[in-house]
Amino acid sequence: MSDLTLAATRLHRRTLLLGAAAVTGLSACSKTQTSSSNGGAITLRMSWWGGTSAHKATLNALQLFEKRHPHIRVRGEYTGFTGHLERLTTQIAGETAPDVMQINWYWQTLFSRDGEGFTDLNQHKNEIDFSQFDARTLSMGTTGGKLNALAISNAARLMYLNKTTYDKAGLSLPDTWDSLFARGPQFKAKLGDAYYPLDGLFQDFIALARSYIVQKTGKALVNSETKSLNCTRADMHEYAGFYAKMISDHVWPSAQVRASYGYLPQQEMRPWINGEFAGTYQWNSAIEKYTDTLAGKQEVALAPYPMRPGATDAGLLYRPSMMFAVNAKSQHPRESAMLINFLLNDPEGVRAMETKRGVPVSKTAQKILRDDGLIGKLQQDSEDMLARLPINVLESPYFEHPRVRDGFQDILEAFGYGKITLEQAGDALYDDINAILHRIIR
Amino acid sequence: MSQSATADAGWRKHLPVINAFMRYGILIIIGFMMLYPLFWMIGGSFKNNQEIFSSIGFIPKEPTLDGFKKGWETSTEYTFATYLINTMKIVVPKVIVTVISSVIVAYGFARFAIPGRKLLFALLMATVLLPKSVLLIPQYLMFREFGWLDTYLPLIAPQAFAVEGFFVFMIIQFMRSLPMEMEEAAVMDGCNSFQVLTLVVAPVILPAIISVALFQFMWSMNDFLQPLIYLSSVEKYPVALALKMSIDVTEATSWNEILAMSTIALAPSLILFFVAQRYFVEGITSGAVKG
Amino acid sequence: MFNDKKIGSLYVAPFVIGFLLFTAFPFVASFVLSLTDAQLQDQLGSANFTGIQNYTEMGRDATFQKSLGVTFFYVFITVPLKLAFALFIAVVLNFKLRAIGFFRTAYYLPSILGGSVAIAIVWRFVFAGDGLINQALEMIGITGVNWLGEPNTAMFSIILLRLWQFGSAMVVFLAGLKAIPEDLYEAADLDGASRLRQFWMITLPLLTPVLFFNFIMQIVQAFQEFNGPYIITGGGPLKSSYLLPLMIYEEGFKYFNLGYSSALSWVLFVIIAVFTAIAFWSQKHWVFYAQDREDKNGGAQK
Repeated sequence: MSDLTLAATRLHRRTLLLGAAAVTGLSACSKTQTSSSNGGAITLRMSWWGGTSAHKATLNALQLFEKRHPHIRVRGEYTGFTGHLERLTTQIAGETAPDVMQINWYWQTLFSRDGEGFTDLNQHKNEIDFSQFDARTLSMGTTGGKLNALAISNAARLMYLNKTTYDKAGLSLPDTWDSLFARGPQFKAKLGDAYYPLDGLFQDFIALARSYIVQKTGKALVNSETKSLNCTRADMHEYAGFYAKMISDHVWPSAQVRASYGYLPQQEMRPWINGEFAGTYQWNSAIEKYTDTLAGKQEVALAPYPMRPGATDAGLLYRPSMMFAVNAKSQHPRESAMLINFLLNDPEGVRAMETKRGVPVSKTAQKILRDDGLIGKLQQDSEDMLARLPINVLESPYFEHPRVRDGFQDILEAFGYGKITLEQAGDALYDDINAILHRIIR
Repeated sequence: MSQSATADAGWRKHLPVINAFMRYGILIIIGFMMLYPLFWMIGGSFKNNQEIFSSIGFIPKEPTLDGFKKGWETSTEYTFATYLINTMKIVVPKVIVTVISSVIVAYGFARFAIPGRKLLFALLMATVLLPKSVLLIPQYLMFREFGWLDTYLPLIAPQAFAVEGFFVFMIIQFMRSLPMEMEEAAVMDGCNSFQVLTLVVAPVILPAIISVALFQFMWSMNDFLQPLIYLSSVEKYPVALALKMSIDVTEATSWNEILAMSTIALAPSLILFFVAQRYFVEGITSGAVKG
Repeated sequence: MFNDKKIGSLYVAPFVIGFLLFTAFPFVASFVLSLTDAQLQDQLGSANFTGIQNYTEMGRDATFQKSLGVTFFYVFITVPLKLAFALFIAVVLNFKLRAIGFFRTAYYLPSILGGSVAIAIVWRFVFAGDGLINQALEMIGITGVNWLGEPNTAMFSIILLRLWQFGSAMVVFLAGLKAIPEDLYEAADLDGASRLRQFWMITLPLLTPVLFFNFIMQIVQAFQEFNGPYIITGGGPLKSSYLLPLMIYEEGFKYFNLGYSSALSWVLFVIIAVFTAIAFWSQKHWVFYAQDREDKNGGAQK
């Protein structure tokens, strides 16, 4: 029965399509190529990674898009996050990548160092309404003057604290760096050794310390032009000192304590689940993954962002969390652009996608979802804070290169395990990271 | 002295019972250690996320069937049944061609004086020794040229040519450990070499052949990277890919669904092993050798 | 046994064709890549030929040297322990006991689970600072150890994981035990030989071809061990469990350094090949092939 209906719709679509083609003489139809053309229809391939609800929302949106444009079919090629980059990389190396791809911000440095790796979306001003996007966001998808990727949502790391635990200790959420430092001994005194006011993986700490330093220097930490750190040796010593203080003051669990649970994400660690590690420095786009595993009724709140006295910039790594890009070799760049616009700007597409990929950047999309009441409290709080904070520094994507991150981690870990002194750690942060940057930026 | 002798005799009378008790005791204790993750996995299917990560006990506090229901529906357009069937479409032909090709090639290596035997054997071993991840990209490019992307062919076809040196080597070892009397007798009775293989050798090394089938079955069930790279259509995904479909970095993962489906996906392997293992007990082996 | 070279070649032909068709090109290509600065994401043609630079680089790469040492340690501990354990269990499971099929299946289970989520989570529970082992130790008054958090002990959790997944070696042993003709034991029983003596005089010698196979395969698998460190420790702390295959994977798929990753693979390949070659050379001293004995007798008679 349902098969029959399906066949009928297909037939219907086809006649529609033929009619449309005859009337408007869509140029795209004549260009239709090998990728399964049935009756002059265009098939787009789109790939993304995500979880259950993102898959469902996206599939739903694609169906609506097909309904709107009956001559276009979109084939979703989606996976979980594990392995997605491996697969996309192989496809790009093999020139078999899909037309539309969901990418991470820093993947641009992998696949489009010169801006030629993806289609220049500026050529599709007619299909995509760029006025919905602020200049900063657009610039973060631009390489060599080519708009390579369009942000779906922006994200920054903010401090989310377990209010239940803070209440238990009778302490307020910290609002300055000094009050954060003070929470360490206070936690230890009131709740015991097992409790920490803040926690995270090394990668989280590396970002937190970056923010601390950038608030002082007012500059991005990495300069991709000079292929080096954009700060002094003394700044890197301060970076190391920041780690040392956080550990010795019981603000952040030591490397040994963290490693004793094995190599696992923070939200799967028992101390986080039970509220003993009472905070995380996390992407606002991902925070729901963290609140999800909390045991019982615990409340997580957004803490005021700590600022150094006289800081002119919060030092946030505020950047697109996910982006859409179009294959440079796509046979259907125009239709791909139409699809992107539908998903990011069209009321129907926006409502279907909801906030499954974070709060959208697109102004119209944000308004639609806010009016519909689809943006949660923690999400809205985060958006408001990001709008308030001074965020002007543009960080180089190379800061997020895995080699750089692991470089920071190796040094901090070696210091944490007492293999090197604080002095050596500071020097290594400056020398080794510069060497790594020099090697990876081409 | 006589007393201790009687005591001794009394003790000896119970020896078989004590012996069996000991054996089963040890078997059960170790068996429990082996089975624990399975129990935990099944228990975990009925738990919620925070309980999964905070307790090593396997009895759920507030059991729910959601994991099985939603897990079976999956986050995709297809139910889990599609992925189970897909897996079988890959694994069953793969196992069959692996067994046939490995036995034939192994027989050639073990029983024939072939030109360049040592070199060929070295190549065979080389396929076992080189880390697979390094071959991934060149292999991908090659299968693209063949036009095999998004089909099951890259996963199955190479196995028809005994490229998995592991299995060939294993069967060679078993063939070499066999006495040759029976094969020689068969030749004298007028069997050709292929008849010797199918009528004499294969039945005797059946446990080895079954092991090959088992290993290939289970490893193919778990294989993640190859299907991930070669298959782009969701409707063609096998279970190993489907299980990781909902694990994301930003969105909370319903681990009970994953554990529930992992349990279901485990069933074919478990059943197959249980059925196959009896060939290790009273195989046709002993009968054939004696007969 | 058969001397007809044509028919023999026919049997081996599938492998030769398959090798040429599917394996030869990737083989050669991966070696060529190891001589370039290829990046994973680029078209292969755009890589520059750098000669043996990737190989000389390893001499300066402290991470590689650490990883190499750790890998050897892992292999030397794991292989003998796992072989002994698998053989012991196989002998036990070869008893004709009631419900033995159930136990065989149970004992094989950890190996079926492979690197699944359940294993990763349960294993971390066992070794965590407040995990099962430490709780047990505290019950008998011993202070727990930070198993996963200390460089000296993190490796043991991975070694134990692999010992626990002894199933495939056990299955091969079981199949081998079945190939031993029972009349040999019957004869030994008549001679009054003890079970232990039967094991040493009959079982073990006749099992040597299978033992040899398992030995080779365990060496290969141990050198290629990836799952354990990947899911339990992530290679840490301080790279104390950073086995070479994990490094190869990360160089290639995390850092996108395809050239260096390929070079590392080939070094690993050569190391394994050397060990395998030594093992093959040694087998004439300890591996007993019934087939060869027959050959010799046959030859003498003729």
